[in-house]
Amino acid sequence: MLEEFFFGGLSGGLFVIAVAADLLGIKFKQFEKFARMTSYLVLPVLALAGAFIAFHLGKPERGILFPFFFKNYDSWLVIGGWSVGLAVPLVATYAALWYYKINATIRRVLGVIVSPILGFVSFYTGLLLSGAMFVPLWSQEYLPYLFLNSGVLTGLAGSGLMYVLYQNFGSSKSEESSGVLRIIGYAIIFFVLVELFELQRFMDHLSSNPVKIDNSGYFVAPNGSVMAYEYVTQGVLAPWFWWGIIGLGLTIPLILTFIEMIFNKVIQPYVDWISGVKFASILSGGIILRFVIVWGGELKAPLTVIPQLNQIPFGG
Amino acid sequence: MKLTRVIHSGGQNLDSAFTDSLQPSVSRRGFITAAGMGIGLAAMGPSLVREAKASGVAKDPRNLTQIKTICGNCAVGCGFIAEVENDTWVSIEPWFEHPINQGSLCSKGAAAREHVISEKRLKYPMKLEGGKWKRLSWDTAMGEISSKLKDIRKKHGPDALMILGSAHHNNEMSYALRKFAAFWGSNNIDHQARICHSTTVAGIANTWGYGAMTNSMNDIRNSKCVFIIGENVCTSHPIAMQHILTAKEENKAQIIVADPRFTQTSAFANKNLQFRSGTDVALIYGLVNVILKNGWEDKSMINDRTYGYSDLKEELKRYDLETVSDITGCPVADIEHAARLMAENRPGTLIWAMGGTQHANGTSNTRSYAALQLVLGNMGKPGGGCNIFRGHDNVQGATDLGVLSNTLPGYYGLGVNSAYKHWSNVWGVEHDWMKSRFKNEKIMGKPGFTVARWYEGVLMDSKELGQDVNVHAAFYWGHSCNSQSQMDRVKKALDKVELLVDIDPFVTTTSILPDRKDGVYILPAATVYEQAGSVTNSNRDIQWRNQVVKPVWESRKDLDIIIDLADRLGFGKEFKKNRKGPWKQLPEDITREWNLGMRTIGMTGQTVERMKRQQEWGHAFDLKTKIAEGGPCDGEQWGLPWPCWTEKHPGSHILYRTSIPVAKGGMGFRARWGTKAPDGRTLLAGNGSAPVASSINEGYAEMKNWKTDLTGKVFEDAIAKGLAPYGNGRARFHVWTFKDDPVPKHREPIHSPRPDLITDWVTYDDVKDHFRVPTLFKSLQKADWVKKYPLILSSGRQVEFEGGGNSERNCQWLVELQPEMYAEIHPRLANDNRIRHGDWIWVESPEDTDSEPSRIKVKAKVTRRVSPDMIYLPFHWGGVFNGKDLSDKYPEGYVPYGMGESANTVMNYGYDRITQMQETKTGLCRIIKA
Amino acid sequence: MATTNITIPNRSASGPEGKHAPARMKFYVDTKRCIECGGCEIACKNENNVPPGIARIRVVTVNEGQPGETNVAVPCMHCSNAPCISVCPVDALFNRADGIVHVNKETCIGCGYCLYACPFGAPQFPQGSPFGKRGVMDKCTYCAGGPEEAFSAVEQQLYGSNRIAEGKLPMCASVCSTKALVAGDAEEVANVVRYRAAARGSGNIWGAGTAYPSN
Ligand SMILES: Nc1nc2c(c(=O)[nH]1)N[C@H]1C(S)=C(S)[C@@H](COP(=O)(O)OP(=O)(O)OC[C@H]3O[C@@H](n4cnc5c(=O)[nH]c(N)nc54)[C@H](O)[C@@H]3O)O[C@H]1N2
Ligand SMILES: Nc1nc2c(c(=O)[nH]1)N[C@H]1C(S)=C(S)[C@@H](COP(=O)(O)OP(=O)(O)OC[C@H]3O[C@@H](n4cnc5c(=O)[nH]c(N)nc54)[C@H](O)[C@@H]3O)O[C@H]1N2
Ligand code: SF4
Ligand code: SF4
Ligand code: SF4
Ligand code: SF4
Ligand code: SF4
Ligand SMILES: [Mo]
Repeated sequence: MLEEFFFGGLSGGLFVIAVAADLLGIKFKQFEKFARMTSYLVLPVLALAGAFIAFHLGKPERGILFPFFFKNYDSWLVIGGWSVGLAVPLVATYAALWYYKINATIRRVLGVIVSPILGFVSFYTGLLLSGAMFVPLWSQEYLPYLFLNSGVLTGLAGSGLMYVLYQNFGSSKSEESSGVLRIIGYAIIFFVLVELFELQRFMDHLSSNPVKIDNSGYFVAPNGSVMAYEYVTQGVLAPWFWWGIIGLGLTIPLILTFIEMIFNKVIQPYVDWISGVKFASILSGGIILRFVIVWGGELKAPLTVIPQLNQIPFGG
Repeated sequence: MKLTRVIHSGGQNLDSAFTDSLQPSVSRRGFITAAGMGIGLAAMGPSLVREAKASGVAKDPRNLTQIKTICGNCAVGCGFIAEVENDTWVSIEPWFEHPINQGSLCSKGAAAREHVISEKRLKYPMKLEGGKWKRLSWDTAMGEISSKLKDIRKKHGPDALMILGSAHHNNEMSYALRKFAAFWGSNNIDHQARICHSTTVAGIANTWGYGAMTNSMNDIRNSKCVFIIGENVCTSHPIAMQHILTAKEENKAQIIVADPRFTQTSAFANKNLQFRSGTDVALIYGLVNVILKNGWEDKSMINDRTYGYSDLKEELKRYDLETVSDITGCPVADIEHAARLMAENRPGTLIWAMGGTQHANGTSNTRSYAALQLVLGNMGKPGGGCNIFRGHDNVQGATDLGVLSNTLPGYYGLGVNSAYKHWSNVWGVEHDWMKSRFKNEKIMGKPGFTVARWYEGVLMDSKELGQDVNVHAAFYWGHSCNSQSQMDRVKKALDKVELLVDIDPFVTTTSILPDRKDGVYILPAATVYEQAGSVTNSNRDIQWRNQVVKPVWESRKDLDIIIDLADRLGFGKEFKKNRKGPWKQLPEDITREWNLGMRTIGMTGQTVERMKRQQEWGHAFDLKTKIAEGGPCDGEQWGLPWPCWTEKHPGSHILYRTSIPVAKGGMGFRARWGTKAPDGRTLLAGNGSAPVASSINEGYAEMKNWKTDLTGKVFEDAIAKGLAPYGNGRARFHVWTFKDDPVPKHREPIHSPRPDLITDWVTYDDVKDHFRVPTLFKSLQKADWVKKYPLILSSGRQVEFEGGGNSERNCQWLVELQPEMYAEIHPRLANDNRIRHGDWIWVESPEDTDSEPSRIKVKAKVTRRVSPDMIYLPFHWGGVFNGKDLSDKYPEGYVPYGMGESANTVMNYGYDRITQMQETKTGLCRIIKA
Repeated sequence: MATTNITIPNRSASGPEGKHAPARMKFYVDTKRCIECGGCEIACKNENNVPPGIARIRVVTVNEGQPGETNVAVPCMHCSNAPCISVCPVDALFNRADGIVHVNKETCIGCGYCLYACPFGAPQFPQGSPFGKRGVMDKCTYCAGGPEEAFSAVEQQLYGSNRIAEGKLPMCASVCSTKALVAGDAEEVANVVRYRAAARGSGNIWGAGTAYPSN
């Protein structure tokens, strides 16, 4: 489950970044190559996400034929399934337009139109979980944004990493890499700060013992979310949360980016390497985020719902 | 289509019975008009929508036969309906009209079918040969076993055989087994009751005559107070909770639980007394002292119906509340509060079981409980009494039928010229022939080895024993070896004994534990569901258990095995008959045989025909009185609880009840010890205390020949005059034959965690010949045990398993609920020892008479059930020994689903002074993180 | 047979059509009575031949070993407004007219989404955790089989027995040791609850005070 969330989120992020770079490429030529390569990366990552989903189904054959089976449009899984399904040909077309260099304008227009769909793929991984109303950690208000942001962040890292690798081991080394990496650095600072802010609000929300009443009238007692908060930040998952999400995923990249900027000159020869480490760090933080959220879901609040409360009609 | 609720206008269907079983107190008629739960629903499918029929009920197309039968696990005696198709047991239906359980079943009862269909059932006889298990035919197996037995008998005499019988055997098999031992010529036969309620039987039979539960599970519905001490009803007798909770809800009964742990049952108590294990007498005396101080005692009960009250009062002086509180660890205020609840809420019942019995002074414990009920005046009353919850499905029956080394059936004892004479008469054999079967008359009248310590008969030098030969052959016939304490010693005996035979539906720990290469036979027995017969539940209800299916695989009915064995040993002809002629119909003819001989306790009126008729008429019986209203059973009590003197007698649901005539089940206390005590005081009840409608309204002696008259005339005459055949006597606080404790005393456990109390509350002197083995008390009660072993070690039950667990650990469903052996350990103790929930730990206990301490490796279950100074182990596990998995010693394919270390490997030395009950509730140990 | 004189009046208020109103099948778990005996769990296995690793009903204990220890048996509660139904992507879950929530094993894709949605952990998957393991979802059927022909071999094999079609009630409730688990038509079940509330004195049923403020 955490794999498809990660790759789903990543593919969304990658696409959005590819399109953004494509648009930047109108003005700054050095982004062209970066944008092109990123656009090639989206499809395999998306396919990987799809493969993981199918692999995790009890009946994969029924999942693959989802257009025939997915009927319940109240279910986020169906909406998500369709958005992934829709994304695949569009992403493929976009990549093809790049590959055959057919028409940049058509490509850019398509990119802009398709971006929200892919953004939604990231966003929806959070929505999917929030369908489980009785898992206090899976909050509808916080998770989708967190996952969207993390999707973009990991997308930046993923594309960046590939770019760095290509620059160093690829056939032709382009001279413009430092400019691209700097812009990516700015973006990373921005999204890391946003994610830190979101996480902080999310944890605040959990620890503040919110009373959660959902629309079906079930009452989830308050302490469920405090338990979840403690489980994540102080319990078994705490090392993953602090070292993984906060440390690897956010703090280290932030520090490395600052180092890059401040000691620009000194580290110039190593900048690719430092960036590489930074990107890998972000990616692992992203995986760990999914891991923590998914495993944190083991903690349900089963008996905070008093079974008979909603079972016996006392009308008649 | 619209689903409609269909109302059944008449007749009962299962579900209105279900409704009634939910609210028995709601009038049945009222409920049916309220549209009951006779709801027929049509099934609905996407393509298939079926119209609800006129009756609203579709019929299962299978061709099922319904067979009523009785659960084979615990002594509650629940009934259920087995559904069988082509001799295959396919499902279970609740028997809602069964008066005891009303359709309910706990996990073990609900898993009854799995006992039969489990893939792990032992399929054919096997023997261990050169370290390998080899399949045998029944004929070869029985031939080899019997010829070895004959050899052993020739070389060492009949006392070289020990038979461990079973409380799972029905009455007929139990009776046959005891008869078999007599015909073989030895008293070396015993069964689980020894390590279960022997101290209850000895204690209370010596108090008021009979050693059985006095009232019934159903009668608890009449109680205003339920005092539960040393019994965990929720796990051990789950269905009894139905009656207890009804009393709590409908009578506002006070539930008081006294237990060293906070048990599943404690959760339902109004008042909990958590106290130190092994201090029951002190706690009870504390309660009695509060009652006396406030004048709450029942003076007329004490004056008219008891003996030795002044002796009790003398002993009570040592138990002021501060002392009691110091000994028990229970706050004074709690004791006072509980005593007040009992005094203010009468009638109250007292429930006990293993927490009280399994101690070196277990007999004193049970006597002190009885004393409390006498003082409160709760005896002989609906809602009162001592509701002693017995263990196995037929442990009461097997005890009654004397599968014990100290008596023949019916508690006749072993008197060569009394007991053996009576039974020879019933069996239709010459008294002299019977005598000739034994080595000599002296040993014929001497109690044999017990389950608790039979293995010393193998291990000790024969000069130390109370018989002049060692034990060379052992039969485990429906018994586990992992239920005996000091199991590492048991293992040594199993290693050494010449011939070991295990007769069981499953491969048990007994067969695989010993380190040996030859001489072990395992014979597949049928389960209780594959053999018919009568079973006696805890409250003396005798119910007919129908055979559900034929014995599966090659397994055989226990009765068939024993008859085969008797034939091969050469006394089959004498064995298979009685004074009325040879057995023709089995098991019914055996029922008729014990009907004839079981005079003492009135197991005489429960004919096969009456039992089978009751089975059909369960719905006619009232839940609170257990009496049938109308129909062919009119006036009878469910289960014809003994004494049921004649074929017209309704049975005696409540013992010692004087408010009804003898003809309806009334009686006084038994006049068992003559009319005058050695001290000259009278033993006959006072004026006006006879059962109503009695021709003598005071105490009277027992009728002449009432125990041996096989015609039944004595009973009929007595009942006609309103007299109980056994007289009308007094209950005894003071028992002069118990030389050490004529009145019960608190005595510190042999392994006491309070060495400072040992001098004042010392245990007994050692005994040289106690059931043929020397037994240590004082010389093992050492003050410094506790230095090395600071923790109290106790043991008991889990709801899903029974006894040694050799059946249940082979049932996958049950193991799924309870997959692992564990030790309960308090969070404080765990933290102090850096142990976390789920960690492996070693539990180690003193060396006692061995050279080394014993140890087991188990997982820590951190829980607040136990106090911080104790460790609690469930004892149902086997297959692992001293941390070593024994899987490779099982025959291929027979490794049970559940394997774990046996608690009894570390249970300490300690045996009851009177009955040799093993002390498995209080010992010492220490823990080491593994 | 009756000794206590309480009768529940005929529900005449609902009029004759009340008798033909669709039944709504419900469970009631009396937490003041459940003794954690496991009878319901095993009875379910026995009745429905549920494979190892699948627990259609489980007993949960709260505050073990402490005052206030409480046990709750949790089968599928056959929720009205069931959250599992709303998340299932393929509509394999559905409400029968009598309120029973069924799963169609022929269409379930085994995504496990229902397990996360269900407040009671009722959906079960072979071999433990969902996502990552094969097989389709199994859960308590209210002993009503599944969306196949009643008593057919397919139904028996996929879903277990169909007691409801026979006019019998669920096995777990039928054998419950202490009658803690009550099943049946909602109104009848409510009668039992009322009766017990009356016997215990008001406010004694766990949660009753919150659910049914003084009436
Ligand atoms: N530490 C510790 N030890 C204890 C206790 C304790 O509390 N703590 N309790 C003690 C008590 S009270 C008891 S009663 C004993 C339990 O004594 P166990 O002997 O352990 O009792 P069970 O395991 O119930 O049954 C014994 C065997 O009978 C077999 N059996 C079942 N039905 C039949 C049948 O129809 N025919 C035949 N031939 N065999 C059958 C079963 O498979 C099982 O292997 O344990 C005692 N040991
Ligand atoms: N599930 C299940 N049910 C069974 C059985 C089984 O094996 N499994 N076995 C059956 C048999 S054979 C029997 S005999 C009965 C036994 O039934 P129980 O007597 O209920 O069995 P235990 O759990 O051994 O012990 C009861 C309680 O005694 C407490 N106790 C420990 N030490 C002391 C003490 O010094 N004083 C007092 N007062 N209490 C103490 C323990 O904490 C424990 O809770 O159950 C029968 N029913
Ligand atoms: S084990 Fe005891 S309580 Fe459970 S069903 Fe059998 S007889 Fe009843
Ligand atoms: S599966 Fe869960 S959510 Fe669905 S009906 Fe059952 S209890 Fe309710
Ligand atoms: S596992 Fe099956 S029933 Fe559950 S949500 Fe997925 S498809 Fe629906
Ligand atoms: S209703 Fe039937 S399927 Fe559901 S838990 Fe109870 S016994 Fe199992
Ligand atoms: S059978 Fe009844 S009492 Fe036993 S665990 Fe299940 S719900 Fe609780
Ligand atoms: Mo027992």
